[in-house]
Amino acid sequence: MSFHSINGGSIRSIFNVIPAYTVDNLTEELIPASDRESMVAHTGIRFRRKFPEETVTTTQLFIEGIKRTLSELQWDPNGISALVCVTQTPETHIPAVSCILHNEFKLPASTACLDINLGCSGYVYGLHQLFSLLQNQIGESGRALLCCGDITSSLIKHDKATVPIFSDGISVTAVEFDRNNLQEEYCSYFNLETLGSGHTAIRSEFVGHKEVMRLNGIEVFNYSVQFVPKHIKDLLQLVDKERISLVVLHQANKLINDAIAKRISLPQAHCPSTLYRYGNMASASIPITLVDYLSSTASTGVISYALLSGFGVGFSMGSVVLPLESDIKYANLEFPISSNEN
Amino acid sequence: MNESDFLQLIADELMISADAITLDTPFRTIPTWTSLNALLVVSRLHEETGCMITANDIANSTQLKDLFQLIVA
Repeated sequence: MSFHSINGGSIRSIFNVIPAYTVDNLTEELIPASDRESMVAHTGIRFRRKFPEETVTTTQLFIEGIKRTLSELQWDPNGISALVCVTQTPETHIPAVSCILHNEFKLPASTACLDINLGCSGYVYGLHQLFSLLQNQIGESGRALLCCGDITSSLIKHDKATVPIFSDGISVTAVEFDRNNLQEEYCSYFNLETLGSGHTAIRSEFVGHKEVMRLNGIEVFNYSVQFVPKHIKDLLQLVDKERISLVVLHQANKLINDAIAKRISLPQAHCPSTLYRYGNMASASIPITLVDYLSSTASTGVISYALLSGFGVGFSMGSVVLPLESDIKYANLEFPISSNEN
Repeated sequence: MNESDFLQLIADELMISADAITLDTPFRTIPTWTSLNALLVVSRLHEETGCMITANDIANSTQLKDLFQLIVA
């Protein structure tokens, strides 16, 4: 286990960009018609979101999310201290997507830019990077952006083990550090772990010139159910479990998520699922589910604590218990974004 | 878990009659043995016995008794 406590960081906004186009697994031709209902029942995934092939890039989606973020928060790009991108579907590997975005928004030279190659655990790793960078920065306060997500459909054509599971989608999360908020109630606790022995459970390979993602469902299930509950329970030993009112797990599939939720046993906490409507959106699945939950509940004006847990390709696990303030701005935006959304 | 319980569990997850299979049945010949149903079998066996069967275990097995041996070993 690798524990970190970081004071003073908080999420200010989450704007997600998801495809307007929805695919229904009950009409998915890769799956025999007689198996579709059973597949939906067991994976928990009825609908998926998908961009039509080669119509948009991950960077373009991040740009849309950042535009909305800066506009809603009325943040000056010159005040952005750091920009982290977590994606496994960059258009090209050189240069880093974060550097392209740096140019697009004319960020100052003082902005640290960094890409992270992680999937389903990536949101928590990205938050950890930004909270750490901002806490260690000299100054009273700091602002940063976390872009995460993938166009996974570009990696999974014609494969019935992956196509019915994964959706496309990205998220842009704004975080802020305030040195006046160093009290215990503003402390976030992280546990970051890796089990490299599971690196073959989800991997990509080249078929000709085309990169294709492969997923071994049984290995992913075994790693998730064997190791993730302990990974989370270890973190919970550092915090007052009673004050956690929300648990947002990476949305893997119903079998895995039910098994983990049962084993971590936080009966007082809500544990929302968006699998039925959104499927598995890789590193964007936590912020998508968080926004979906926030959209459906009334703001209480009280700081509550959330457990966010991502796990998957690597085999990588990252969990955090952090305060969630009630004045976070958020929205799930459908792409193409209609003119009245801009 | 005894043989009868094991066969009943397999039959439940593969949506077939327990009478249709024995420990000698090559599980890949069962028409409902799909990647998803294999995962359901692994999940149920873990729930019921605490034993985690791996993808390699399945790749190295042919008959249901090969899987049963992993449970009782």
